[in-house]
Amino acid sequence: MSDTMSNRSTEAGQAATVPRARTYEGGPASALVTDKGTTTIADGVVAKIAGLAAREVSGVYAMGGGAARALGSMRGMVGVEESVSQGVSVEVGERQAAIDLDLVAEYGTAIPDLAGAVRKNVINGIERMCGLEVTEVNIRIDDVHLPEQDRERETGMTRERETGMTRGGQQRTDTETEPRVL
Amino acid sequence: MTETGPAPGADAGTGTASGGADEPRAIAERARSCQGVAGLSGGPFGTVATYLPGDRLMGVSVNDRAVEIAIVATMERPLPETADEVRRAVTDLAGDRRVNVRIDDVVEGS
Repeated sequence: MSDTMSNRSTEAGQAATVPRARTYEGGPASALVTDKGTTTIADGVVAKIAGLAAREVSGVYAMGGGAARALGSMRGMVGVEESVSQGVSVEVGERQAAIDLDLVAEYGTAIPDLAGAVRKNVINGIERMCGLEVTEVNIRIDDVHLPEQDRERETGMTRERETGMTRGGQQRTDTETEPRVL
Repeated sequence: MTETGPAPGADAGTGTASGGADEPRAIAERARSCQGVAGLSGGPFGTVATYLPGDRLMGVSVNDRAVEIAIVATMERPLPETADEVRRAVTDLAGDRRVNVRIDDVVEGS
């Protein structure tokens, strides 16, 4: 009993040490760590670049989990721009980075192929722009966007637009636009 | 400009707080003029700064071991290139000290 407990605790200890910091000393020469000083790239920068690279791939409809997207559209309504780094979380070390992406695929795309393309583009973007080695890109497809949803929303929108126009709500029509990927 | 650059011992003797008012300004000016630099940043909590009498110079922090520069970069060129250019631009002012460049944000275009 105590054995298993101690085993478990050591295992837990090991498990805790396994995802160790993604920086290591004496690695290959990097553009970022020089003998004249280091270059630090903030997490937000890597997240922005990853987000832009992921959105470039056709078949990616939106980024972010349900809550993030709901919050994003709320922010859109109050006039704050939807964040580029929505749906991206990163871990950045001195030389390496790991990236997690949440995205919404368009219906009719082969999801493994889409994920592969996104992964490739993100790795290319980060390695070229940031000079960081990308250890992993984990992609989670949160939702599939169906074309019917657009149509339904559009009919709903025109209805709302009409009512909004009668009330003279000019900003309403602007804010109802779906936060689409560029 | 008139001080002897590559003598860090003498530099430390004169004191970075009193005599160093021009140096951080010159470093900031040179960093800002590099290609791919949109501006200087204060770091996440505005901690990368030089405190001068009556003024606070954001984005450059100098002591006798290292020079820290925090920038906002543009996406027109790879970030390591931008950082290297900043480092080269201030290398004669920095002398033997390390120049740590941190990129706090990126903006599109120039």
